[in-house]
Amino acid sequence: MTKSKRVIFKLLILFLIAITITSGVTALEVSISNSKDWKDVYSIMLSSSLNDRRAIFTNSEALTAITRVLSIDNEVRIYESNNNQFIKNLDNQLDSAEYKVIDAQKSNSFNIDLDPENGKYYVISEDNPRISISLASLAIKDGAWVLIVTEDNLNEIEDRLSNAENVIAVGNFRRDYLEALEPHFTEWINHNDIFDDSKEIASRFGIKQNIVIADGSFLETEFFTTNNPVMLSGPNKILDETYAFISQNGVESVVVVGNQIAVVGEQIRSKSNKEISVFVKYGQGDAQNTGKVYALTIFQLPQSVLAFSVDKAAYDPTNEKLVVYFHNYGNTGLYELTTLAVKNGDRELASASDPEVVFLGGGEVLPVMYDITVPAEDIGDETEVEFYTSFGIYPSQLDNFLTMENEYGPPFRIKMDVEDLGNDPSVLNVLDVTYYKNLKRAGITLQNNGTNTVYYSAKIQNLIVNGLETNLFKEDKIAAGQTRISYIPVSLDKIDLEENSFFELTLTYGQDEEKMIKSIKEDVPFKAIAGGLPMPVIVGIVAVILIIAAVIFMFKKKGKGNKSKSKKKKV
Amino acid sequence: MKNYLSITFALSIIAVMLFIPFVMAVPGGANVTEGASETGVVTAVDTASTEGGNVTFTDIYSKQLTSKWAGFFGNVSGSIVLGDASSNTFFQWTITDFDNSVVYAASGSISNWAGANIVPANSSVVPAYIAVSGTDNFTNTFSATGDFNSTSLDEASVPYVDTWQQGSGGALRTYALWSTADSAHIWAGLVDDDANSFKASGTVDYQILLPAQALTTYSFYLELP
Repeated sequence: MTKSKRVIFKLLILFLIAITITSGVTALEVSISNSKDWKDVYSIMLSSSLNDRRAIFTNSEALTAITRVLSIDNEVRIYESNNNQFIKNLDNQLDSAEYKVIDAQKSNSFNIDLDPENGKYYVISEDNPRISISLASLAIKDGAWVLIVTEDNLNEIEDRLSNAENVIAVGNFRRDYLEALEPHFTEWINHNDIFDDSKEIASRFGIKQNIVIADGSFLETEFFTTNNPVMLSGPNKILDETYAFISQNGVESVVVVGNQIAVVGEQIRSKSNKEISVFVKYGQGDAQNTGKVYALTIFQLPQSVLAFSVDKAAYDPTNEKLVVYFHNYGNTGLYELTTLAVKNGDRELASASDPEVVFLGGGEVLPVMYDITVPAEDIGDETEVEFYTSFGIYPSQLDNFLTMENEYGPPFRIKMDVEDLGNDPSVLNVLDVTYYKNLKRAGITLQNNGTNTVYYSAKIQNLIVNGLETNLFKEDKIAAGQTRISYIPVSLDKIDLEENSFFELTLTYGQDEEKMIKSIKEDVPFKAIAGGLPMPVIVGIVAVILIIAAVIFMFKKKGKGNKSKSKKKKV
Repeated sequence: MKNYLSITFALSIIAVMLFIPFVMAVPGGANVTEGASETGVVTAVDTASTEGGNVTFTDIYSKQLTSKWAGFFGNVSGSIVLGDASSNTFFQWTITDFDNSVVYAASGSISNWAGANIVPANSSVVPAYIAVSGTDNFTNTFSATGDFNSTSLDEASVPYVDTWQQGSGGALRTYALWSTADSAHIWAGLVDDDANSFKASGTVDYQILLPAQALTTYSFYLELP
C-alpha cells in the first residue's frame, strides 16, 4: 500500500470511530396532519406508518397541542387540508416556534393523494369509520392501502381498483357503491356485524400474544404504530364473543387505549381470573418540554351518539305486572336487552328479563311489561329495580351497558313506583301495510274502533333500503272511529322491492300517550303498489288546468272587446 | 508530499462537513432549581411547572444539580383530571381498585408485554448521555437492583431508584426496563395510593424518574392489578 493510501485509510478509520462514539442523534422526521376530516387524518397516519415515519395530528386550533408533545429537534412535514384545517398557517406558526418545517402538502383528499398505488388495497365505506381502526395495523402489516369510499371519489376508486392485484373489501356498502366496486373485489369480509369483522381482521395476524382494544370512537397513534391486532369493544362493555376470541386464541396481554374504556380492561381481568394482563394507555408526555403528563391526543370519528335510560318503573300489584318505561333520548334507533331484579337493599324480591332484543326508535319512550310477583308486605320506599341492560345500534352488537350517572359499569337502579295501570279500552287494528312507490312511503292502514283517541308508535324493522337493513319509526294518534293511513318516508330501489319479503311491524298504543302499554307485533307480507300520482304527472295536470284557465280568460277578454266595438258602431 | 497534504486536507474537510448534520442530544429536559444541597433539602420549585407532572431531578431524587433526568408524578385515582395537550379533553379515572398496579412510561409502542420480551435495562441500552461516566449517569442513579414484580411481569436484578418523598429518601420506586423487540425504554413506577409526594406536603400515587431525552414523547400505561 502506498503512503498516500495508508493516510487515507487511517483517516477513514478515524472517521468511522468518530461516528460510532458520537453521542449525537439525527433529527427525526415527523408528519403532522392538519385536517378536520377523519379520512385525511387516517390516511396521513397510515401513509406515515407505511413509510416508517412518526406522525401526529391536530385536533383543535391550539398550537400547544403540538408544541407540548413534540420536541423542536424534530423535522416536520405538514399535511394540510385545502380548506378544512384546524390551524391556519401552521407552517408559519411552527416556524415561529422554532420548528424546522421541511415540507408542506395540501390536498382535498389525502386518501386518494397518498395512495402508494402498489395494487394492494383494503376498501371500506365512509359510512363505516369504526372498522378503519381495526384495519390500520393489518394494512400496515400487508403493506396495503385503505381506500375509503365516498360519493365523490367512487369513480376514482373504481378506476384504481380495476388495475389492482388484490382488493379486500370490509363491511357493508351502499348498493350504488357495490354496483361499481364489487366486480373488482378479490375478497369481501362482511359478517353484517362490525365486531365479527374486527375478529376476522384480528385472526389474519395469526397467533398473537398481545392485542389492542379500542372502542372505535376515535383515532390514536397506537393504532398505527402497533404490530398487533386491534379489536373493537363497546365504550363500557366487552362483548362475550370478543372475549371468547381473546381467551381462545391464547392472548396474554391486552392494551386498552384510552382511560375512558379502562372499565373494559377491568372486565377482561375479571373474566380471565386475572390470567390476561391489561395495560391501559392513558397519557403522553415530553420530558424535554414541560414534563407534564397529558391525556392522549385523539381524533373523534363520526358516530351516532346513543342516549338511553329508564324513566320509570311502575308495579301494578293487582295485575302483577312491572311496567318499565325505556327512553331513547337520541335521534338514532337502538336495541336493548334487559335483565332486572326488584330489590330491597341486597335482598332480591323478584326478577325478570327480555326474551329477545327490543327496538326503540329515536326519541321513543317504550313501556315494556314484565310479569312478576312482589309480595305486598315487601314493597316499601326503599324498593328499587336494578337493571343489567345492554344496548347498541345493532341487535347483535349491544356494546353498551346502561349505568348510573358518573359510574362506568352496571347496574342501573331506579326506585320502584306502585301504580294501578287500570284497564285500557283502546282498540287498534292493522288493516294493511303497503309500500307506495310513487309516494316513496310505507303506509300502515290503521283502524280505531274504540271510543277514545289512540296514541301509537309504529315500527317497521329490518326493511332492506338501498341494500342495507333499516328500521322505520313513527309516532302519531288516530281519533275514535277513524281509519287512516300512517305514512313513513322511505325510498326503495328496484332490487329492494324484490328483496323485501315482510314488513316486520310492531305497534305500541294506548289511550294515554304516557302509557302506551298495548302492543301488536306481526310480520305482514311485503307488497308495493304505484299508489298516488307521481309528481311529474301532478305538475302536468296543474299545467294543463292553468293553460285551460288562461285560454278561457283570453276568450272572455276577446269577447268583451268585440262587444264594446259593436256598441260603438251602433252609436 | 503535495499530494499527501491535498488528500489529507480534502478528507478533513469532508469529515468535518459530515459531522455538521448530527445534533448532539442536549439533555436540557426538566427545569432545574438551584439550591439543593448535600443534605438533600428540597428546594422551592415553580409550582406552575410542577403541578400536574413536571418535577426536577433534585426534587425527586439526588443531592446534585443535573439536567439529564426528568420526573413525572401523578395519580390514578378518580379525583384527578388530566387535560390533553390542547386542554380540550378532561376525564376521570374509572378504576376504583388500583393497589399493586404499576405505571409505565415507554419511549415507543410496546409490541409484547410478555416477560420474555421485557428485560432489565442496562448501560448498553440507555441513552448515551446517561451511559457515559458521571455522578448522575444511569449506573450511579439506578444504583440498586432488585426483583421487579407486577401482576404480569417478574424480572430479577432490575436496576431501580427510590425517589424522594417529602424531601428525603422515600419508597416510590422507579425500575428501568427494556423492550428487546421494540428497542424501547420502559420506566416503571409502582403505584402506592396517596403516598407522600416529593413535596413538603401533598400526596401522589406514583413518581417516575426517567431520562430527559430529546426527540422522545413518552406514552403512559397503567397496568391493572
